[in-house]
Amino acid sequence: MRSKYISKLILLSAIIIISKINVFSQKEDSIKTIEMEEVMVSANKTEKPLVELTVPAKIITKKNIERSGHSRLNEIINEQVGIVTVPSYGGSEGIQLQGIDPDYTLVLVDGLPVIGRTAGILDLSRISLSSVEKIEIIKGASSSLYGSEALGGVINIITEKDKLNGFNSRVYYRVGSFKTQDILTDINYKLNDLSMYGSFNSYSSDGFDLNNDDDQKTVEAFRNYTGIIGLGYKVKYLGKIDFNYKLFSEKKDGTIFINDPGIKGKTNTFENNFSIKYKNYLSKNISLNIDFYSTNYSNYEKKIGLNNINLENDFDQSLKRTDIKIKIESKSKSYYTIGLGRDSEKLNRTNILVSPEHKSNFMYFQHDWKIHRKLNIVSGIRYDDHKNYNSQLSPKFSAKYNYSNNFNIKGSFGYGYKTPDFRQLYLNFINNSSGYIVLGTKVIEKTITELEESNQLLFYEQVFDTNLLSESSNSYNLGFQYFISPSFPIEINLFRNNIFNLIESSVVGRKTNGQTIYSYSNLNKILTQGIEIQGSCNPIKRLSINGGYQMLYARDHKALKDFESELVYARDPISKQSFLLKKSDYFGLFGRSRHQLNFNFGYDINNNKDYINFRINYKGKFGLIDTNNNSFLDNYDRFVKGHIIANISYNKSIGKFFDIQFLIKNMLNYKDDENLMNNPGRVYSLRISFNN
Amino acid sequence: MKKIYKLLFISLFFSCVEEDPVLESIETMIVTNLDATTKSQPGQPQYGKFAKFSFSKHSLVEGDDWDIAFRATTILVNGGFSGGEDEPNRSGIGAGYIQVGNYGSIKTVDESLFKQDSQTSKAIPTGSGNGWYNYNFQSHIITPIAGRTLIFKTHNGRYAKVEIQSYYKDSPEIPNASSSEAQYYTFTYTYQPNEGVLSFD
Repeated sequence: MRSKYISKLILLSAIIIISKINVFSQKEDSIKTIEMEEVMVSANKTEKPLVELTVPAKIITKKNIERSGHSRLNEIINEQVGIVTVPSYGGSEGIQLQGIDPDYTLVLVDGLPVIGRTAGILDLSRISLSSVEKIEIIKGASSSLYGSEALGGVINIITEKDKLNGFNSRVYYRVGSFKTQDILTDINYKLNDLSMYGSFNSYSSDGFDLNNDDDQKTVEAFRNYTGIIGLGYKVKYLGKIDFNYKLFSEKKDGTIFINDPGIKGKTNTFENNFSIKYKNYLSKNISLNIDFYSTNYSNYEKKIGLNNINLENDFDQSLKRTDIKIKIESKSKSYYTIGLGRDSEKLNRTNILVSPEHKSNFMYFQHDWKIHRKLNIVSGIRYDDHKNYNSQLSPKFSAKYNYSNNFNIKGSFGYGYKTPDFRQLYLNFINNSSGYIVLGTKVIEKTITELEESNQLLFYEQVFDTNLLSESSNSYNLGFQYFISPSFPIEINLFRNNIFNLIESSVVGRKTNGQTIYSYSNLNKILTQGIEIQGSCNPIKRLSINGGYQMLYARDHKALKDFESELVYARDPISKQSFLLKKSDYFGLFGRSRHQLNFNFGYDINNNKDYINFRINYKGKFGLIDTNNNSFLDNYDRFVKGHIIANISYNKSIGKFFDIQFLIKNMLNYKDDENLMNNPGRVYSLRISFNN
Repeated sequence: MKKIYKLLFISLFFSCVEEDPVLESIETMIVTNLDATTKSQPGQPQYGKFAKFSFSKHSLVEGDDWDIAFRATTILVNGGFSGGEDEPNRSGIGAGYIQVGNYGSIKTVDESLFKQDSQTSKAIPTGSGNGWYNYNFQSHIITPIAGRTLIFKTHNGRYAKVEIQSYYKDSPEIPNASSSEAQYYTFTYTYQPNEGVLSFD
């Protein structure tokens, strides 16, 4: 399969090379690199300075990452305004952006999607920060460029490229609480047009246990390895080609439920990525990018439960993508980006009888137009041709108006969607121990017919269309930026996401033996809206302060209606009397804090070599469980208390090549063992690194 | 056999009594810890005897003069289809429906809403969120949905309203799935003993 892929590439490159030699042989090689610190590619799929963007965006720079002392993606993401990591099953964490669930944020590495959403959430701790150059975050729906999954936003992790000539190497060893060990070796070599890169990371931990009454750890012990090799070559006239291969492998202890220390479950995860990126300037104003990408993620899980129930889960997903993009700069300060490509996705999974394969073609177009000295309009559209569900046309419109040097306004509208996943289409799951059946919409008719023929069906109500629609969102952002001084900007952004056709499981029938049959349908509509305020300043020399606040309302339409129609009551736990709830008693969706606050204080002791970095992250109260069980999160439920997590890191350079960094995470030791399962309390770590 | 319910209080309403001494008084009572336990496992087909309750006798009964019957989360009315697995014989004209609202504010019966048990559905629908209770998948607790009043027609055509308050023994303030004993009903009911009278006032 791969050789076929490569041969295709060679053919294509040959065509390009030939056409290039004939037509553009006069042109000098000019791969542009814009000399600005904060340039973003994710917002427009082409480089554009952060300050000029028309959509809400944020960059976490290498310096931010380095100073935080964090080593995995989930840890640094959690310290950003308006982004919360949400704990999921087995200690993994996903991203909640503008109050939208982790399933709906697209995660990319160098513009290519990360796959492996076994339970809807991508585990961000899979991604090591060791070779990351910067992290770009786009808030709001961006399917106009990225297609499915870019409903809440896009996180693009940009890895290191284009170092100085010669050898660069870095080695570090980090050790911390719970026998956490993190080892990195990283070598770069660059000689003019040739660059090579290799990196190896080993990360392991004993996990931790918040609840000592059972054999199960809260987070099980694990060890993982990440290996990356890269090769880049730039040839005059022919352009630049980059090969990149990444491999990730993890072994984690599994969950056991029975009291027998001899028996252990396990989870093995394996991921590999291979990409070829080609870039060239066909003329001074026309650039061409071709990406080939192939990725595979597999996860095998074995659990041993009561009465020797063996639970085995196998998940094996692969994706291949070809993406060709042309960017044209016209004389009238307009930039056109035209792209087309093809995705092919496959899944093998326990409880999915068929091995579904989806192919889709896509094309997109974007026009970035400096209509006036003060006004920039970026509009775009993308078409995805899906075979198994509704095809999608995703528009975007955004504009920025620079009222003056120190004040600007930007506004954007975007459409986002997520196609139904394979589980919702093809799942055929019979849980014999607790007696229910879940059927995907593509297999339900067949199974129902079989049950009917064997007289096992009590009733079946086909109340929903078995054609699942993609989950969709219309997202609106309006932002204002004011520079109190050039180094003291304040930014306010108002956001609103109307999300509809959310897929939920519901009862569709019952078997004669009492087992309930569930299937999926487009049911819910939700609304998330709020305000985000950010600012940064340098009140005194060497001290920099960044801060941000988000207020969020995330609510379900049907819930609002039920509250309005006076259908929702609560019961006094002591008198057992019911009382009517007002609309203002509805708190909103689970897992969302109304208020979130972040502060980052950086103090530079000695010229970027010795520094202290201190962060405060406040998360307001939020609800995890409908404790009064009236189906809604209301003010009479018990909430997870608002709390502060403070982290501090201290870095000291020793000599020319060595650095020692000390990190205390959660220094106030805030804990909530019942609700915050991903929080082990205060954690220490020490890192020694060698940089050359 | 141990007596499985006790009367906590009786409040008597003497409305109309002065004018029309023929009418019997309406009674509101609380039943605690009505035993509706079954040995069948959750999710598996249910089996076992139903606990049959009579509003007029204020007690469990053995005969066919029952009004409503309980087994785990299932509630039956004495009217409609007979013949379900281990279900008691339905010889009466009983029926039921669920009304949203504060128990105290529900003053009359709406005849047009009554449904009887059938082969595929019950007057009081089964399943979480469909009828009188919610099942919480996180805490595994069954909670009577607040603000839901069950209106019944008895086996012989009288009316009663019921508010279920707890599904756990001794109505704990915060039930716990592992330590609280489930399938014990505590409920308030108001019985209108006079034939043809739709009011609970």
